[in-house]
Amino acid sequence: MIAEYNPVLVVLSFVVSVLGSFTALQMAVAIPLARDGDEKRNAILKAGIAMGGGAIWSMHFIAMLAFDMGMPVAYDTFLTILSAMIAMAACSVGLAIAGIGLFTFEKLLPAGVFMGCGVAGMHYMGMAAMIMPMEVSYNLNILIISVVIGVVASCAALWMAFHMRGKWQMFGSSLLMGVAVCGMHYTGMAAAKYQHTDAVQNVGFMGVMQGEYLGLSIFMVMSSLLLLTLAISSHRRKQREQLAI
Amino acid sequence: MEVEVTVYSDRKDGLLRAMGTVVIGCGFTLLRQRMLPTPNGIELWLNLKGEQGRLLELEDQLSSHPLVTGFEANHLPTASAHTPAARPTGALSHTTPGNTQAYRKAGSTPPSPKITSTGNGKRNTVAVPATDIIEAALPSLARSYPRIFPQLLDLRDQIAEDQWGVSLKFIGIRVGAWVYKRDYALGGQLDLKSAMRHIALPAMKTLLPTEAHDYAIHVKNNPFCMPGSRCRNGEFFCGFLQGLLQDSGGSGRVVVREIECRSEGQKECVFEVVD
Repeated sequence: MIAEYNPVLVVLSFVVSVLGSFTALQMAVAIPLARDGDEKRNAILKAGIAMGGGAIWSMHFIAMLAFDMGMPVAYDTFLTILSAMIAMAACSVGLAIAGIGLFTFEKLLPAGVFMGCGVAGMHYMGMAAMIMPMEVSYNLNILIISVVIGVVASCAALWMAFHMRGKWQMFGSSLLMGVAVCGMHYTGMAAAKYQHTDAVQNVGFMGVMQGEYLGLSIFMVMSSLLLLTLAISSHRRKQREQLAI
Repeated sequence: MEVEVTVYSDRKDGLLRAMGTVVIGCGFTLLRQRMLPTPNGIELWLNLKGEQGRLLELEDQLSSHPLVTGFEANHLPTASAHTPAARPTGALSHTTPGNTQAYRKAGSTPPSPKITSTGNGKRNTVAVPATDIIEAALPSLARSYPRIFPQLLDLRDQIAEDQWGVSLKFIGIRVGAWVYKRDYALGGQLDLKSAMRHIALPAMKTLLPTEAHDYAIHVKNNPFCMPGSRCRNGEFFCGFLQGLLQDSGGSGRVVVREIECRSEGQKECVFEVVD
């Protein structure tokens, strides 16, 4: 099979992953400031949802739209939703590990493993959701490399977000998380081998999503992310101005 | 080691229990205690025994306790028969080895300086910050930050000499806590070494040229310090670093002290941070 990437959509997928990471990490760095358990849980879930849904899930499906396989591809709705849930849950756990209590190097690896595996889990579940007359198999070595890239880059992003302060914390961590998500995804795509089959996979009980619905979902997630980013920035600026000495 | 501590409070109820909790929490044992009424409230004298290594932590927690309006400690070896009436008296200084005199916790309002009489007729002054003057000056300091030294030096003319040190420390704590909340609060809770590097050092650098070595901050041109005067004036930076670092990590028991001073012939003023 000869497949081609649309370079504009590839760039857009990176921009989306960085924007989603920025929003999620800006929410995540406020986890240590939560005053009680409820506030902490809410902060973790919000950050996890923004990371899993915004940075990882949206990026993956924009990148899949960028990947022209020369045939129509649909997505199993249940597995597509499940892939988003995996990313959100794993990111919530990773951010909770990093954000609760003293941030140490001992916490960095487990937090990064959860985040990296969240990215990888979402990706491979998203791949499994594809409905098309082709069978996908993977080169195990490249697949492992893709997971390692996700974990290592996630560790670096978390270290910057929780350990550092200032502009590097804000922008460096988002860029690194974008690298984690995109690096994992495109390496994972390189691990995939496609073989034509006559049979099409069975569709799950929730049916399939076609490209236009997927595009609409991505548009909604992206709009929410942008609004959220603006709201957070505006709220923090006001807080900063009103802070009494 | 044994230490004598006197705390002043405007509330009697629960004071002994609160102080006892702090004392036990810091690993000290209460040997004797005596509570005396004063014109402004209560004076509670405590004779404690514990490890020298946790003394700073004890002093810091006692002096910053919400019930405490004034605090003094005497680390000199004490005879077992000492009582408040018989203990060494006189105004204590920050720079006197073995003695500390503390300050009010940031955000609370201490009373005006008060004088307590001891049994032998001597008078013992407990210096507290000049909060009326400080509270009026803080908003202007916030607007001018980080160019605050000229204003701080101007305050010297308005504040009594014996209140100057504690007032500077009080201002330092308030400014430090404000800068922390404004610029450094978002992020993970850090261990002290990381907090020194990522919070204390950049915050100090916005004020004046500074270097950090492990747990010490080196300041080359402390504007409060007159070389050769042999008079340490590092209270602002002690307070500033304490305010910056007290909420940055897990323990919240940061203590800062000036261990070297340009006024005593050293090349630079050095502030040691202890957790």
